[in-house]
Amino acid sequence: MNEGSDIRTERWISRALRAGVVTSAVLMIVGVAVETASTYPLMDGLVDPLAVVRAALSGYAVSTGIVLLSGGILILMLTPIIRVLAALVTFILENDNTFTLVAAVVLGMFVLELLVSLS
Amino acid sequence: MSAGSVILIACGGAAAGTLGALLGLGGGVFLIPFLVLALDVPMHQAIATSIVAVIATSSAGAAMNVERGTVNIRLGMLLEIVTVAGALAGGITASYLDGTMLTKIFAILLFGISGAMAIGGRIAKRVENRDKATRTALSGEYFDDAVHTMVSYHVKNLPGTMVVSLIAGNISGLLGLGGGIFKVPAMHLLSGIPMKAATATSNFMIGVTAAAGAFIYLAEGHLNVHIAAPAALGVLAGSMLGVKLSRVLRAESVKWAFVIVLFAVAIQLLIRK
Repeated sequence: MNEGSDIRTERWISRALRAGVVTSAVLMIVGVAVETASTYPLMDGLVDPLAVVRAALSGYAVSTGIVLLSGGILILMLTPIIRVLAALVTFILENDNTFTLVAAVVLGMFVLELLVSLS
Repeated sequence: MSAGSVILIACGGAAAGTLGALLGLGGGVFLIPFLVLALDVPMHQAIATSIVAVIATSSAGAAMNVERGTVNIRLGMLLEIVTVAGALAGGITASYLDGTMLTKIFAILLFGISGAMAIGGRIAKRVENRDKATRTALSGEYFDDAVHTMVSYHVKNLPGTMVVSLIAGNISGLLGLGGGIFKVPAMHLLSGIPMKAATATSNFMIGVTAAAGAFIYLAEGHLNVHIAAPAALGVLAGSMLGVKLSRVLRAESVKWAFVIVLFAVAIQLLIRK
């Protein structure tokens, strides 16, 4: 572990976070614009992104704005996991065994929690 | 979904995001009361929105703080093991504890932390300045723009900070908060980490804990895109402003803002019926 490898780790983690944030923000901005411009909003009140994804995958007609908003929120929710994954990859490349194990444990626990909550 | 409601929710999110990034919190302690009291949003939807906002604050703030070198990535990831474990245990604890009792305990704990921060900061700073220990994998350094100085530090009393982080993960899992309100004082007071590095590292960590909670709310159908999307966009803008403000604000000012916020949240929780 040296200063150069630390900078590389910082760069990749920052890129992963920025990519997730920018992608989700763009989707949500366009989604909000489409939804507010819509003369006849298809859905009002509680709109659950998981239900939207399931409906879209089942072939039901879903408003473009709602799909974009749901996609943006789901990408935002996945961004921290992508950040842990980016850290894991850079620690592996740096042969930093201790922190490769730390990142793997964090990722494993997160995946376990995800599976439990969605089951 | 009217333009007026979008602007109102986004403005509330922006204010919460600015304060959250400045203080190393997710902003949920500001956003939840705003949504419930000002916009009459149901509590479950407000908490779900707050969790998404915590992820937005953490991701946007951390992207900038990591590049600036203020985040201690290795320490953050090590503490994430116990905060995620705590969040997992939080679900189990919730079924055994009365919610009102838990809120009161939480409020009393916040009074204690704000008091310790107010009187204990000088002790931690003195220890931090005297320390000439050998550099380890968890040591850190960053350039403080406010005082134009390179700040180096070593992490002390890691087990103590890990125990507090475990409790923080547990409580954040129960209440839908990021948990920075516990982790920042623990890192600063117990481990001697400078306030700016402590808030940046806490901000970096809270996204992972919150993401786990977010999927639980998602699975239960409490996440409303019409509220969460404008709030998240406002929080993103606010957190970027908060990170920029933290460059010019002195660490002492950030510490006192944190003490005042903790005190205000504690009073709010105690008087809540």
